[in-house]
This record gives sequence, C-alpha cells and structure tokens, in this order.
Amino acid sequence: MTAVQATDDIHNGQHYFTNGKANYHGNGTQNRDRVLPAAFSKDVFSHLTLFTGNTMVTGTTGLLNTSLKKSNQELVSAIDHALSWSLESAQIHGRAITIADSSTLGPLEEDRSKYEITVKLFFLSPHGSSEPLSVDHLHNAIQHLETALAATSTNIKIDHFILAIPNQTFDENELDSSEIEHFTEDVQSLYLPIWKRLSELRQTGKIGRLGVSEFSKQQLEILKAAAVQVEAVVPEINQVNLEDCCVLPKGLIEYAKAEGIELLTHGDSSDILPKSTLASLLQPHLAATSVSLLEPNFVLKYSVLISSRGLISRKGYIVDAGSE
Amino acid sequence: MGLLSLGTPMHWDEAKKYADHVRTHGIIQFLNLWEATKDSQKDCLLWGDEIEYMVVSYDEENKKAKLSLRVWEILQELAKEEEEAAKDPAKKLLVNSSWHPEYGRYMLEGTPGEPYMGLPRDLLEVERNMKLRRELAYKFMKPNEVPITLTSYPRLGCAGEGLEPHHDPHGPAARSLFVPDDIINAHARFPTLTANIRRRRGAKVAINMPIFHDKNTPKPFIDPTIPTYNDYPEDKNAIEEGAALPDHIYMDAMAFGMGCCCLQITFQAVNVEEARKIYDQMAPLGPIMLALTAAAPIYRGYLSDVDCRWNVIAQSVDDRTEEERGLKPLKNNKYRIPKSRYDSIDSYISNDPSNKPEYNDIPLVFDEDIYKKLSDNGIDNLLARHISHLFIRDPLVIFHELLNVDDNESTDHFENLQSTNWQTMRFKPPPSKTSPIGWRVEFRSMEIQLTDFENAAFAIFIVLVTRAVLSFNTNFYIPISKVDENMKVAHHRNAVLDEKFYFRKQIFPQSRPGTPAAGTPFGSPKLSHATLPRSTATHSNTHSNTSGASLAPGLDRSDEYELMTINEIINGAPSKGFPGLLGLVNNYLNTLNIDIETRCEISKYLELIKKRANGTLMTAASWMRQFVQNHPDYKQDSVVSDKINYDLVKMVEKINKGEVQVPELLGTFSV
Repeated sequence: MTAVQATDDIHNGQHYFTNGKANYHGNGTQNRDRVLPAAFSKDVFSHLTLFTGNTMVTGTTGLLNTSLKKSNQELVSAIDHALSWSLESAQIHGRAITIADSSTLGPLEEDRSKYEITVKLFFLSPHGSSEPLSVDHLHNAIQHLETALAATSTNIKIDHFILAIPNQTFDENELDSSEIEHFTEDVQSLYLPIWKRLSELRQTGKIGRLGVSEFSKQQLEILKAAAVQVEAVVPEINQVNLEDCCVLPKGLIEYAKAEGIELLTHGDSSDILPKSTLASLLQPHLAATSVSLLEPNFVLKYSVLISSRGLISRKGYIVDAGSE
Repeated sequence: MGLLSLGTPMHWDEAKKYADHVRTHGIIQFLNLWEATKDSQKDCLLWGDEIEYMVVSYDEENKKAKLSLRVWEILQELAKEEEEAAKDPAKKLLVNSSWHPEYGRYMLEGTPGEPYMGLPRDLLEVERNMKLRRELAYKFMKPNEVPITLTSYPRLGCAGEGLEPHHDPHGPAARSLFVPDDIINAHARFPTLTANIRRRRGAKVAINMPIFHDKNTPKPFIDPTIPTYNDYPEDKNAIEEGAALPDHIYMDAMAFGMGCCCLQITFQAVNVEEARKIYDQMAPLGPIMLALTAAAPIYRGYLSDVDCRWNVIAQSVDDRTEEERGLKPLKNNKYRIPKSRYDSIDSYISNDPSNKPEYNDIPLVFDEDIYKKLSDNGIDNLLARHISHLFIRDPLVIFHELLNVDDNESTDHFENLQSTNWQTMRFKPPPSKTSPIGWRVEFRSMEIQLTDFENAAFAIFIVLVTRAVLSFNTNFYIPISKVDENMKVAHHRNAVLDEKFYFRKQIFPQSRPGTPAAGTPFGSPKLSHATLPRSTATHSNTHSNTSGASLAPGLDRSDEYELMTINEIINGAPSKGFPGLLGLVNNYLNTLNIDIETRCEISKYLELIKKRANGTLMTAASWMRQFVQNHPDYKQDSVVSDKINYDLVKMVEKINKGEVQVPELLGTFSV
C-alpha cells in the first residue's frame, strides 16, 4: 500500500481502522525499501496521530541505557521507529494524518482478566497556558487507546490511570503561601474539569485506580480538597520519579500511607515531548509547513502487564499533535 | 540433592545388572508423566531459592574452626519446627522454611516454606526469608556452632583435627586419603553413591586444581601432605599411579565437590514450552554468573589458582571409566563420553524459532534406542535428544525395595537418572501426574555468597532476568561450544575482571527482516530471520530445521557473538548499543507499577551486581584471597593454616552479623 493508495482509500470514504482492528495486513511490510513517500513532501497536515509499535519487541525499550534517571529516550526512539517504518502505510483524512506501527496493534492475545493495563496521559499544553486541560483530548486519547488494543468504549477498562499535568516536577520543598494560592487556582481553573471527567470514569468503573504524577504532599492535599468539594474522587496514586523515590520526604510518605495513596515509581522525563523534539523527528519526513503546524497536544503511554507472571506484554505510546 | 528414597541400596556389582531395567522403566515413567502433563498450564510465576550452609564448630581453646558432624540432630529439630508450623498457623510465619539434608554431614539446605510469587513486592520477601532461615538454623546450634555460607571449606581434608567429633580418614566407601566416610551424610544413599562412583570408575575420583604459586610456593609444587596408606588397591592412585598432579591441589573424594555449597534458583514456568525457552536463554548465563559469584579460591588448605567450585564438583563425581574418558579403546563400555555427570549442559532444547540447529554444535552422545522410543511416542527431536542424552548414564544407587514400581504412578527410575545429571541448568517435569506443580527450570551455576544480602541480590537478579527475557523476547543463543569455553574461563583467578566471555551481540528479535532493532549494529542479512509473534513462537511444537538427531551443518554464526567483559555483559556497552543484563532489568522494572519502597530495595540489590561486575567491589573469592594474603600467619607459600582458617571463618561470621564493615566486598550496603 502506498501513500497515494492510502489517500485514495480516504477519498473512497474508507476509514483507517475498521471494526476496531488495524486493517493493513499484507501491505508489504516485508522487504520494502525505505523510500520516503514523495507525496508527503507536498501535503500539509494540521493534525497528526502516531501509534508507536510495541516497544517491548521492537528493541526500543530494551536498548535504553537506563539507570535511575528520567528520560524521554524511549518515546523519541519509538516515534522515530514508527516514522521510519510506518509512514508509507499512513492514513490520510483531509489534513489529518495517522501513522501507526502495524506490527503490534490489535487485541490482547488472552483473556482480559489476565492483564493489567496502565495508562499515563501527559498533557503538553504550551507553558503558561491559561486553558484548562482539554476534556476533548482526554476523550480522543481514550479512543486511540481503544484502537491500539482493539477494544471498544463499552469494554475498555484501564486499571491504573495517571494524569500527568504539564511541567509538573516533584519538589520536596514546602510551598509558601503564594505558591499554595497559585497552585490552588491552577487546580480550580485548569485541572478540575478534567479531574471531574476522570472521576466519572473512575466511578463507572472504566478506570480502576486514578492518580497523578510528581505531586508533593501539599499539592495532593490541595487536589483532594478541590475534588471533595465537587464530589469527585480523590487521588489514589502518586507517581514519583526514580531520582527522588528513595529520598522522599517523610511527610509525603506518611500522608500517602494515611490517605491510602500508592506511591509508585516512574522514569519519565518531566517534559516528555517538547515541540522542538517532535519537530526534529518529523522534519525528515514531512513538509516544513506541516512540521511547524504540528504542536504536541498529548502523549498517552500505555503498558499491559501480566502481573501474575511478572511479564510485560505490551508497551507503547500514542502521540497527538495539531494546530487546533 | 533430589530424591531421597529409603531402602537397601545395591552394591555396584549388583546395581549395574539393573541399569537397563532402571533406564527402560525410567523412560516409560517419563512418557507417562509427559502424556499427563505436557499440556499443563499454570497462570503464575512461582519460584524459590536454595541456600546451603556449613555448620562450623569453634574450638576456642585451640583457635580452630572445625566442621560439625552433628547436623542430623539439627535437622531433626528443624523438622519438628516444620511439623509444628504445618499445624499451627501462628507458627507458620515464624518458621516459613523447609530444611533438607545434603551430601556433607556438616551441611544444611534451607528453602523458603512456600514459593515466592511474581510480583515485585514479593522480591522483598527473599532476603527476609533468608535471614529467617539463618536465625532458625542458629536456634538449634550449640553456643560454639555457627551456620556459614562458604562455597568450599578452606581446610576440608587437611590433616589434624578438622572435624567435630574427630574421625580418622580412610573409610571403606570413599577410601579417601584425606576425609573419613563419617563426613558423608549417614543416609544409605550417600555412602553408596560415593562407593558406586568409585567402583564404576574403577578408581577413586581424582580432582586436581592448579595451585596458586605465591613467592614462597615451591616450584614445582609437590604436595608433601599427601599421606600414604596400604589398605585398599586405590591407595596407589595418588602417588604411584600419578593421580596427584604436580603443581596441583589433589583431592580424592566426592566430599570435596559435593561438600561444596551453592545458590540455586528454581522457576515454575507456565507451560513446557516456556520452561524450555527459559532453560535455553539462561544457559549462556551459567558461566557468566559463575564468574560473577566466584567464592571458592581455597581447597584442602591451599590457595588455588581457580576462583570457583564447579570443576571440583565435576571431577568429584566423575564416574566415567577409562574407556568412556577416551583413555582406552572402547571394549566394555558403549560410549566415549566427553563430560562428567556434573557439567555444563550439552544441548539447547527449545522449539523457539530463534534456536537454530547450528547452536547445538557439540556432538551429543545419546542412547539411540531410548531416542527412538521417545520419538515413537511423540517426543520431538530436541527433547528426545536431551532425555536420551541424560540416559547414557548408569543409575548409581538402586534400592532393592524400589526396583519394581508402578510406572503409572512412580517416577523413581526417571528421577534416579534425572537427579544424578547435575548440569548448569535442569529441566524438571512436574513431580507427578497429579501434582499441582508445573514444569520447572533450575539455574544451578551460582556460588553461595557470604551474606544473605548478597544471596538475595543474586537470586533476585536472576529471577528479574528471566522476566526481562520473556518480556523482551530476548535471544541469548550462542553456539553451545562457546558456552563451554566460557565455563572453562570462568574458573580462572579473577575471571570476573580479567577475562572475556563469548556473548551474543544482538539480543533482540529483529522485528523486520534485514533491519536492525533501533540503534544497534546488526548481523549479516543472510542470518537474520523474522521472528514470529510471541503467541505463535512459544506454542510451536515442531523444530523445522532439524531432522533426526544428527548435527546440522548449517550456517556460520560466528558474527553473531563476540568476546565481552563481564562488565559489558552486565552493565552494557553503550558504544556498541548493547544494553547489558542490568540495562534489560532496569528497563523492565521501569515499565512496572512498583511502589517506592520495593523499588528502592531492589535498586540496592542491583547496585551490588553492578559493582561486582565493574570491579568496584570484590567477589568473595578475591576478598578471601586478600584476607589470606594479608594474614600475619601467611608465609607467601599458598598454605592456609588452621589459624588463618579460624580467623577467616570468624570474620565471615562477623560480616554476617554486621559487626564489621568490609567496604571492598560490600561497599556501604548493610547486610
């Protein structure tokens, strides 16, 4: 399947994914040359959705040179890998392009009850943005996840959902009164709408446990107070990065214990996909106009574990960028 | 040590007549077991460790550390505890361990009471349980006794008063010039095993480890302490018949090998295919982990030039005749056999498509009739080769009472051979047709470490490697002849830092033909094969490229592997795009949902592995060498005296109790 055909498919009204399943079997992924499709150099795209492959089996995750440090190396390699191998099979719909690594999307092999699905949604609103985190982005993200796992909106179940708000980094220092006020305002105006929506998903059972990332004790308290006021659920998980996880303030540990908040570790960079990083990844593949239009909206990271066996079945990212 | 049946054991002259009987019925038992369990499917990881202890008895007056031979009494007390725990839930948690006799009458083996599970949090249970076991062992010791985890006892077999109570050497079973039969576990199985190995071999076993030549060590070194006797025909072996080699430390009994302690890890796989995959993937790590855990530099009172026990044990149970060893033309025996019953594995057994026929590149000796019987009953080529290879050995201990058993119910005859093939890996069927236990794999090469912290670290590292292997679908295959070469090199003094080992360069499946996984150099395109998705790969039941049991000529795979340092193998080589085993484990852990406490604890264990591999911290072997060489009593003549031995054991005890800091061995980790 070439890009031109892909475009034709779209003109014929054929959607990229049918029946919730990737429909690009036998599209010649074997032995094809890595020639960049010329058609894309002219097309202008204002929206991009990119599904990386299963980073567990592409070598992307295994090859990381990780120690106890935060990094977005995995995401960068995964995007690069997807662009190198899946661009020819991209689906185009007007000015929207969807790139997906065909090898690893689709339904889970075994019974759903054997798996534990964890999702972390990184919001990438530009720094200092005064817009609330978009509930639409959340819906899109969950829809993309359904696509990746060939699930449907009725049967999707996310065991752990972590909301990563933009530019949030763990700070062990106490907030002073103006910082408290500032954060309280941000929670009210920027985060509460999405938290309420997540809370509904938690209450209907689509989300198992709901949490945040890189919050200090005071920040957890502020979010809790705001949530209680609107009868939303309170955070149940707080992720802390590997650099800080062994030297956490006692206050946070005790608070978490008292509140039943799980403190889990993560190795994600606090700015997981800066605009410049995405631009330099896209630059060899897309027209300059497209590259400049495509600002990252969110990154959804998902992993599928078989906990009883201590195995990771799948891990991948979904990147959403646009100019809207 | 496998099966411990009760009964009257046969002398070799009688047992050999029943060898074919045991093999024939052993295979029938295996086939019955296979039929009942081949489709067995478990849904969780269960695993466990085995720790072996030596019980030392101090003679404070004379400053001697002796091996205590009253372990049987201690084991009886421990068995009582286990019994009570089985009845009383409150006591269950306090005991939570299981105790077994071992070859040496001074040895204890302790395992967790129940297997560990697969969750990260369960890993924290490992060190706690090891400590609980040590405390429990202490509880039944006399005030001057102590359980220590030394791989080889430095003065085992030395003249003088080394045992409590004292016994003169030279009993009828071992006929050793150095150790009495009283050092062997009194259970009939063990003296019989010892004697029948000697009888089958037609001579005593001969273990020769190169001496470490220090400044004042005579050259050539001819051991002046080898005694002479004139009681048994074998008394001529050592000197007149030349079994004791110059420049070597000579040992002549099974106890020198099977009297060593080690750290073994057993995993339950979800099914037989996964077990075979883990078996193969972990096999190349055998020599690497042997060198990394090296803890056995001293034998029979001398510093040796090897750091590990493995070859000592291999030679200590080598029951092959001269014909089988290739010293005489075959006349009474059926095969030339290249290795001892205790040695590295001889073939890979997985049907995974990444297992290419060329990797099984050492000629495999196997029993053709048994191979045919297995084949005729639906056992695939690789497994049939494996089993019929194990079955070239003779059963060494046969009990009269168990000669005729119901092959539908019993697995005694199968286990008789299975459990006396002591290899770096062991592939274990479920214990019986109806057992809730599934297919298991045992990782057997590691040496025991001085402290529970270190033993927990290595146990946890190995289980995490298996999880990473399955999660990433790694490929560690190298030709098995190279694993054997690694095995030899692993013994060298300070091999962990000074030697290089063959290891596979590209350890990830190549998801697209002819292309590298992101960022890595890759092998020649003719060698790359698309890897099937895991679901089909692991359930495949045929091995496409092998026919019959002959070696396939196949492709040259020499560009798939290269020589690496252990530091590179463990910690990675970023310039080559090689992540290292720790890199794999960390990348695996970063994807899990792990609570902070668990992750911080696991990090400490992994830090120990990292620092042992990069030389920041010493192996126990290097540390013991240093301890001896710095001891005021040491005369630069390779001799480890009673006093040095006493101080060394005392020191090891203090390290264990946290009473002394040894940063060169343990950094700032608290044990």
